[in-house]
Amino acid sequence: MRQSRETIQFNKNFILKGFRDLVSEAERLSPAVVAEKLLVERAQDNDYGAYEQLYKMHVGRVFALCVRLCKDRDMAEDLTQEAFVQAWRKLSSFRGDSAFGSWLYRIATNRALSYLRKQKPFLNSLDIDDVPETGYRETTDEQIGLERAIADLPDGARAVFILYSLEGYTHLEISKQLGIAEGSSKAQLHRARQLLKQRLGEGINHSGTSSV
Amino acid sequence: MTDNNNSVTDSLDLVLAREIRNLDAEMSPERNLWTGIERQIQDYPQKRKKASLNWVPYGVAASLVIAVSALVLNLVQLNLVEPRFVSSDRSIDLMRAEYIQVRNPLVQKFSEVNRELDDQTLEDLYRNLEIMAQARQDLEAQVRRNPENRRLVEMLMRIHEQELELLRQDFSHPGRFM
Repeated sequence: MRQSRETIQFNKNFILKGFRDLVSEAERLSPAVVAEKLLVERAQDNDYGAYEQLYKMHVGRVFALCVRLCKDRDMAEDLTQEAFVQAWRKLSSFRGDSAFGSWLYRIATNRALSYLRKQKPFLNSLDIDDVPETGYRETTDEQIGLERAIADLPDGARAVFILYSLEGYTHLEISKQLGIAEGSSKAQLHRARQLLKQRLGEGINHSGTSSV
Repeated sequence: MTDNNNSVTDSLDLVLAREIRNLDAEMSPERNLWTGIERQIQDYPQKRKKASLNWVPYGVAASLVIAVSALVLNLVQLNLVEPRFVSSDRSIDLMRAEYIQVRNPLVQKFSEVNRELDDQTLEDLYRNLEIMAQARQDLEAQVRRNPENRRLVEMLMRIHEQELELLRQDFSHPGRFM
């Protein structure tokens, strides 16, 4: 019995779909991704040089995350250092299911939030009722960049804004990280955005154009 | 007035979105942090990894496919290359040579078994075979550049399986394999 042309086409498509999946998978393995995977594997075999290269690749972003969350460069340097040490200790459990960078940034976020949770003003600022309606802290700069505007946000709103808007966390994840309700996370984000827009509006009014 | 306020709010949303995109993704610490990190991590050497279990299912599957092919085709003396030890051009050459040894007789049989198909279908099938062969060559080149990368070697093995599976099919008869 002859096989119909449709069945042949189906067989070909079925086989070639698997083939195309393989090719797209190969494309995802860009040289940079492959190089990083190799560095991680070498580090897992106690190659300190490989771990130093991973450090150089990611220290800038980890430090930026810590500075923005805790607003203190000295403390951010300590937290960055701790994050890399902790990542080394956990490295044997890293399976490569996600990118090494994403895994590392989670560790750094946890370190920074752990530090913040020990600060009483931060804990108070997580209560949405305590977020001021307006009320940036005083600053002497007339025209301020967004970086400064973020730093001037109340602690709780700042943490939620950074985690949600810059680091890509969901409100559910943030609520678990900070020990608050999901609704509170949404409210903190809304307040952060309002305050930032207020500050951006001031910048526009002062200069006639956006200066931030 | 309300329209004007909405317009300002919209424009501030856009400005905020633009400014967020323009934020520096990275900042440089003033201290050299690596010295302290290196000192601390040397107290915690990594535990030796056991042989990766991820290899087991792929290794077993690949061995089965090739072993069954060998039986069906009455091929003897298939010396499989142990995949986890692919680490040099020489071993990749060996793996390739043995794969070709299985593939080429299949290509010949493929044309005999499927000769009753119409020209257009045959042309489609051969074009697909060529695409697969090209993909296999590209992947081999990547494996040579990164011989320790297990994912690439696994993918190369899967491409081999796919190509052999296509070649074993008798498209003239449903469900029949060579």
